Amino acid sequence: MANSPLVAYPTSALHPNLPTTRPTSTAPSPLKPIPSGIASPSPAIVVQADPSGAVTLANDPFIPAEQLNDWEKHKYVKGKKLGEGTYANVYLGHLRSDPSQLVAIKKIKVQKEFRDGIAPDAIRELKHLQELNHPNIIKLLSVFTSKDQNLNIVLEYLPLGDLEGLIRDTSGIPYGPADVKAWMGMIARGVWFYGTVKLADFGLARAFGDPFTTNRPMTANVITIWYRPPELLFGAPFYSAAVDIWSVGVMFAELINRAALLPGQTEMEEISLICKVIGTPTEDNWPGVTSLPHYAVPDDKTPVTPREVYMQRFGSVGAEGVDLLMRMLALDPRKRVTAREMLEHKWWRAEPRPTRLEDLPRNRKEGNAEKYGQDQGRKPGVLDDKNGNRGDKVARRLDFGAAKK
Amino acid sequence: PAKAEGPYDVFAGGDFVPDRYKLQKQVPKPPYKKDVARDPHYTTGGYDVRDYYVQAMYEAFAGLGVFVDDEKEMSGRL
Repeated sequence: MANSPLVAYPTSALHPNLPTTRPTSTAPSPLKPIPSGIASPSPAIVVQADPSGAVTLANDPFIPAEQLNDWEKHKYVKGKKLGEGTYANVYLGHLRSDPSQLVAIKKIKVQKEFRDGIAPDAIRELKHLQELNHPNIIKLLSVFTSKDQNLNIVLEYLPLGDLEGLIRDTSGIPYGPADVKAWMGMIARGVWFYGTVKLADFGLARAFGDPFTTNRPMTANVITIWYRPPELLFGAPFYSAAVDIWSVGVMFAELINRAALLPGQTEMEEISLICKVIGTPTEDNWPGVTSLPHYAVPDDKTPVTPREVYMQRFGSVGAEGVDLLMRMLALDPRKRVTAREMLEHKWWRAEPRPTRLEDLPRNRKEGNAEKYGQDQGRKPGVLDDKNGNRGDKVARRLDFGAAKK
Repeated sequence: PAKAEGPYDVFAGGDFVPDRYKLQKQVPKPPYKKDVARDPHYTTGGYDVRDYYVQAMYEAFAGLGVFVDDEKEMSGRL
């Protein structure tokens, strides 16, 4: 288990100097103390401030939590505000001991609805990020509370903007199929590594639903509408990691064409677009679909889009790439490719070879820091509309009949 | 002129293969009344009970060789 990638041995928030992997059988004696980053083995309370002002923590179990928190807080210097959202303010920061080490400090706002405690988004984000340690998943570096009892989350700082910016900036940076493959590799690994999550936005992530011990269905309203799979749009009470494969499939298509694939403004419109672009979900291609709680499709049914049409639209990634894309966008989640199957697909081995990380086109435009700040400040999984209002366009109920009248 | 590289490793060295247990392809019949493996109420949305077994087996064995007291002593952690 020591080397399991599923068990992250995160650098302890309190002891960042400790090795991140546990000592394994390579240690000569299992009971021999291993050198650690802790400055003093003395059991007394010893706080050592080095010249840079960083505080090291001694080996004592009886240090008051407030003090631990203050030391943790003291490790970082908060800089300018990168962005403000409904959910959090995001600041640029750096390590006090090494100002070249930049971080993003996300100060979670106290939300009106959750005055009595921590907002569930923050809990979820913390709960999942602290478990995950993977190069393709944003790193949680530390957590502390500030004087006003706000939760502060210290995250890896990603200044290069996101793929969305790159995709939309059609006049800017050119990229090719090999680049698409390299990015897709990173996205796919991130999704495979931890089922139901988004890569830098874990506020709405959750572990597998457990149908044995709970009857509570999972919430269907969890993925930003453009990337929301049909089973969630139809209100399926139980779903699987296949929801994320759909989202990745939509991103894949967007990376290839540099245009949104299914830019619905409402759930209803999103379903219409899926029917038009990918095909109408019916009992034939998805047994049981008509019994899903919010099943509703336009009357004029469209057959599932054939391979030739995909080849015309997305042929630049080759026949193998189109095959993978079609499997990711299978309407019936049971027929959708799994994350593992996705990574085992032959497209990855087909020509061209994915671009190496260091050679990928980068978005170095100004404004990325601000974009990062806004993204991190936004309530997880929800895109703000132009007026900064959230969720106004999300129709709760689907009623194609009414819409037509 | 790319230098010679091995085949692209899609898992980037991170594949997970459990070394203390092996999952069977066959899904066991659950000792519960609900047949979540076949009941369309669960499966139509894509729910796959095998994911649950993957999780349950993983949690059953995770850390079996971890001796918390000894290792805390070893690393000098709080």
